[in-house]
Amino acid sequence: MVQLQLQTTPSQATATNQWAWLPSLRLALVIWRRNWHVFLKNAFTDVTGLVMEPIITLGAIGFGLGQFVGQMQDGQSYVEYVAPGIAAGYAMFNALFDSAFGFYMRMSSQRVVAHMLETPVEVQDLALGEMLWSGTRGMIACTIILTFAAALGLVASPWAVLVTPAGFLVGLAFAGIGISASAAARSMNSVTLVFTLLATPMYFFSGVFFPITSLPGFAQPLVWALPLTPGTYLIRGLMRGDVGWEHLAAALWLAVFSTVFFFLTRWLLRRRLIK
Amino acid sequence: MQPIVIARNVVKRYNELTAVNGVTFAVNQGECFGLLGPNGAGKTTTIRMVCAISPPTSGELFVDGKDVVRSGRQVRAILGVVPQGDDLDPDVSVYTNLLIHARFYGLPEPEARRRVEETLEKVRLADRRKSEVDALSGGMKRRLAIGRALLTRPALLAIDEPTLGLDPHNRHLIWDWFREVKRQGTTLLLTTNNMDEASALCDRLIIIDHGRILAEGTPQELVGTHAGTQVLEIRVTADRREMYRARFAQRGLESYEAGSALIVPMTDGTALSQELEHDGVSALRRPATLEDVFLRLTGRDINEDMR
Ligand SMILES: Nc1ncnc2c1ncn2[C@@H]1O[C@H](COP(=O)(O)OP(=O)(O)O)[C@@H](O)[C@H]1O
Ligand SMILES: [Mg+2]
Repeated sequence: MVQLQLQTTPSQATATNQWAWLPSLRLALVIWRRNWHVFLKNAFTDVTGLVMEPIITLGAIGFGLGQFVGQMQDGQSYVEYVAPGIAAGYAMFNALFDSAFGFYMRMSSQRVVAHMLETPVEVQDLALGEMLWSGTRGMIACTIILTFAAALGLVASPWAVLVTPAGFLVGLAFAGIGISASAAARSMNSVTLVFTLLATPMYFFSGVFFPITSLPGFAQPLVWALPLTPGTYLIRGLMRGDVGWEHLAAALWLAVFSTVFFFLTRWLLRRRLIK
Repeated sequence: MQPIVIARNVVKRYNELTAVNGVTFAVNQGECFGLLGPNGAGKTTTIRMVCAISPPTSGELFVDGKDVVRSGRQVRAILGVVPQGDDLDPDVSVYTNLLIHARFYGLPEPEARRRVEETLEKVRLADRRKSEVDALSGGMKRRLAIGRALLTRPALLAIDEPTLGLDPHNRHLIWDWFREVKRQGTTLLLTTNNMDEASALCDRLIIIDHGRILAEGTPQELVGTHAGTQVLEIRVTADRREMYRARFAQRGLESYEAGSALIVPMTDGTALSQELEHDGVSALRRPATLEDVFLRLTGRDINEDMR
């Protein structure tokens, strides 16, 4: 048969690959842009879906239920209290919808992801690109609700401009959860579990609708560990304008959570996609 | 010049199943190299490993001097990949499919757009640029997928079953593109179980089955070595087949079954075919082809499958 000679020396090969695990921001942004393009194409349906539900919630819960609640402990009206929570909650739902259902589709039946992995894209670029995109979805949702709340006079401080990046952080954290769930799921049905087991309970117990001090003592550290509680805390502080170091800590916690999930996501995607 | 693909003892296992069982081959720069084999032989698995999509379980595999596992990104950057089936993006238009692909290879935006236009003309989809992919016919999708892979001017174009299920017009169009890019210096690696395709395009090929290489050579060499110059194709009922095989064996002639036919490779079949006609058995004498090689080398296995 053929005489085979190799010109590559091992040292050359290792030298080029020391940083091989690092994602390429350029490729991640190509993926981000692809999703942005699809989002714009369906913008009307997407944005309508994005806006209607939180606004209905804000109207029904904030103004409707709020009349029976009276004032919150620190003198806020209930609707002022609940608006930032809804902003954080819908950052979560939007990021999760895209990273769980949307990404699952792109990865399974649509083979969009399979094609990416035939190009110079590596799994870590995919993880980063999809996380940045879902983070963006969270940011868009959060910003729309912020604008609406501002129009209703529910925003008290210029700090509120930081709600947009805060929404991105919340989205990023949930993107990590959503993509991990997709990568581990065996079917679309199991992806649904992220909503029933995680997102919905979090939405009700993370300080969106009532202070978590009302929860039993053992549950409080638990809800702080999950990203919606720090997210809600952060966005509420920014909308009210009483911002302290604890809010920075909450933002950092979201960043750390997202970073850890980036690596988990990369590992799970590698396990699923590289066979 | 160093071969562009070097595979040494490459093995791929999926749990207990061994899909590729130690293949060694080299693909030279600028040639068209074929992987020929029946369904389930391990062709797709092999080509995916070469394309740095699927890591080998063991063995050594280099593309352009780079290890496919350690330098997957660099390997894929010089490849054009057309996988089996279709992995076009159903959420975006024909035009955007091409544009996004170009961006993955880092082409500057104006150059990317220029090449997208060029590709649309080439694959005859310029008037369908705004179409959704799902609205295209099978032939159009295939043309788009191949055009997309060629857009980045790859050093190696790897195509899994390039013309499976296409009509003759599309098939010949695609074969012409392959000849054209080969003239321009592109190396081609393709899998097929279509003998016409292998004979029409491949400079060299390997025949694989059960993850092993059974033969290697140019189409002519393979025919010469494994099928002789002529074959007799005989149709007899199943019960008489063994009798005839024994009769041929007495004369030192090997024969093998292909479907309901019995095929005898030989150098000059004139005498034997006259004899058989005398028996009232119809015998077709024809030049040996690659298909005969394929049937002979992989035939027994197909029968095993059918049992
Ligand atoms: N992802 C996979 N998991 C398990 N088995 C696989 C996988 N891919 C291929 N195989 C098995 O490997 C063998 C070779 O398959 P393949 O390379 O697709 O053959 P071909 O392309 O020649 O038809 C088959 O038995 C197939 O079932
Ligand atoms: Mg195949």
